Amino acid sequence: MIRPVRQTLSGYLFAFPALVFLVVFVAYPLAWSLWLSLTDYNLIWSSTTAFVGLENYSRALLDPLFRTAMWNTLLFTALHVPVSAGLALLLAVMIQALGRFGRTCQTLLFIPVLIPEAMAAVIFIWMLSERFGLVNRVVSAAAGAPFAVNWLGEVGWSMAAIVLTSYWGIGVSVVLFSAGLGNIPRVYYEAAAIDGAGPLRRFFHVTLPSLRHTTTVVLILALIAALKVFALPKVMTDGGPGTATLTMYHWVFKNAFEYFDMGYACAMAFILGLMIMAIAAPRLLLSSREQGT
Amino acid sequence: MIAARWERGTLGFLLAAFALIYLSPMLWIGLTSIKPESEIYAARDFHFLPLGPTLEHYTHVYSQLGDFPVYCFNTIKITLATVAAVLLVSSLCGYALAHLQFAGKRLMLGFLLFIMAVPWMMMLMPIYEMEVKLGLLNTLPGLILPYAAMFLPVGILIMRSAFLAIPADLRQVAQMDGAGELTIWWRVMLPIAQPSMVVVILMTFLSCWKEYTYAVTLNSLPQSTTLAVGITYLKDEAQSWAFGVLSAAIVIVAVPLIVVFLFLQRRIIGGLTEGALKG
Repeated sequence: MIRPVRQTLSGYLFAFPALVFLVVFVAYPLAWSLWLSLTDYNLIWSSTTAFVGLENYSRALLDPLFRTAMWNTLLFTALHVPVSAGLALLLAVMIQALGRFGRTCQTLLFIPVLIPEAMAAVIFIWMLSERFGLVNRVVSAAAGAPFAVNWLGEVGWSMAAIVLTSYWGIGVSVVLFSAGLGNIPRVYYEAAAIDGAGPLRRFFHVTLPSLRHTTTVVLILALIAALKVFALPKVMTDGGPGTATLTMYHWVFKNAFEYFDMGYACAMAFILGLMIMAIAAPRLLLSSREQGT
Repeated sequence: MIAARWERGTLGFLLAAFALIYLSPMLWIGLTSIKPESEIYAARDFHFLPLGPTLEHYTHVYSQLGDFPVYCFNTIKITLATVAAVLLVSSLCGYALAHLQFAGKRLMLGFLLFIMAVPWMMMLMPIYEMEVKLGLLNTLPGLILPYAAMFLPVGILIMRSAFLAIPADLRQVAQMDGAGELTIWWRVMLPIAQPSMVVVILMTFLSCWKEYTYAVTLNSLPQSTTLAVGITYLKDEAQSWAFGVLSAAIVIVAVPLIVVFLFLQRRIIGGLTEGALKG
């Protein structure tokens, strides 16, 4: 009976360092954040902190800027997710059909994934520069007339600029779809071809259903990333012009680290966090089944 | 499934055209970095390719963007330390979760999966406060420690499945030879799990180097921040009229990264796929 005791002990010892990290930087801050969200804690006026119950949560629901930020974020999500997922699938199918040349293209398409979002934002600030940027210059040259949209400074265009930049990170979805496509048995296609199915029918009746799992993962990942959008609007427009590109993460950040209104920021972070976790839940269940817990 | 030749040709052309457009920001930055100011800001004549290429922006990076080397070294230090911490801690924990029996193991696994769904924004405010109190704000450890925690769960799950693939018999044989758990882990398990360790290194490196939110909050000062945040300060430092120098700085950072990626692409792409499907 000595073996199990020793094993238990070494189990704890091996898991201990990880446990320390997870408790200090996840469990404890999470609990503390929940507590702060129920107080009017302000980093500057911290001496007068009081328990306020759910006041911060009701305040968020009534806060017009929270609603603006929510709306902007949902708009961004609606513009980002379907297009980037659809484009990624299309590209993956093309890559799959083209063999070695396709794989070379896939490698090239992956390169922007290596670039931090803030750096991509800076690159696109230059791409979209009103007078000297590549986009306006190419459009002007193609149209034969001057085209000088102030992408980042105009209400209608600034969100478009950010959405456009967000498509630059499509590489991961392409790779995931490619992996999914590679797992579809060729027999399916052969059977479909024998039945006389054309390329479109094959795509809708063989490819798409077989990719169900991959598509779910890609969509959930894209949705979560879109709801968290922060670096792009922060760097490119700082939420502007006005509040046209103020996103939820950005609003939490502003409240916490510009107004030091920590209690309120924590409450909003919890509202967003619960939304995001609700979306992540199906994937969580899926992977917990795979991990055998 | 063999498509007609012209179909493949059209498809290849479309894909290549898309790739060209998709990578045009990269080309644009590269070309801007070797154009003289007069061409970059020419009001009328526009030439995609430089007429009189010059390297002057590269020689100006150091003098005009004084903090650039600081950001580079901060990024290197923070990334190396985070990768080392995550690698060590996740391979220890992954081994325990795969091969050792202890009470609370399932709970820990469940907790790991749970926190992978928790957005890190929820922990940011308390961690910020904690670091204010401990004086860790704007220090390198102040960013390394939360990063290590942030990238740990994926690392642990990757290492766990690597260790699960190693038969338990191997452990028992080593045990009969009198080896302790630590020896078994170090001498028997780790060498076999090496490919997964590479995956953990690459994934942690990539996430760490790209992270923005924590870096801009906890290490907002130029002397302690990373390139992912510093690049936006460089833009302000250079003013809106110095895209030549800024482009040169981006090229200096991006080229080595892309070269390394091209050598390791299979492992990076494979690791990312595994991480995404697992996480």
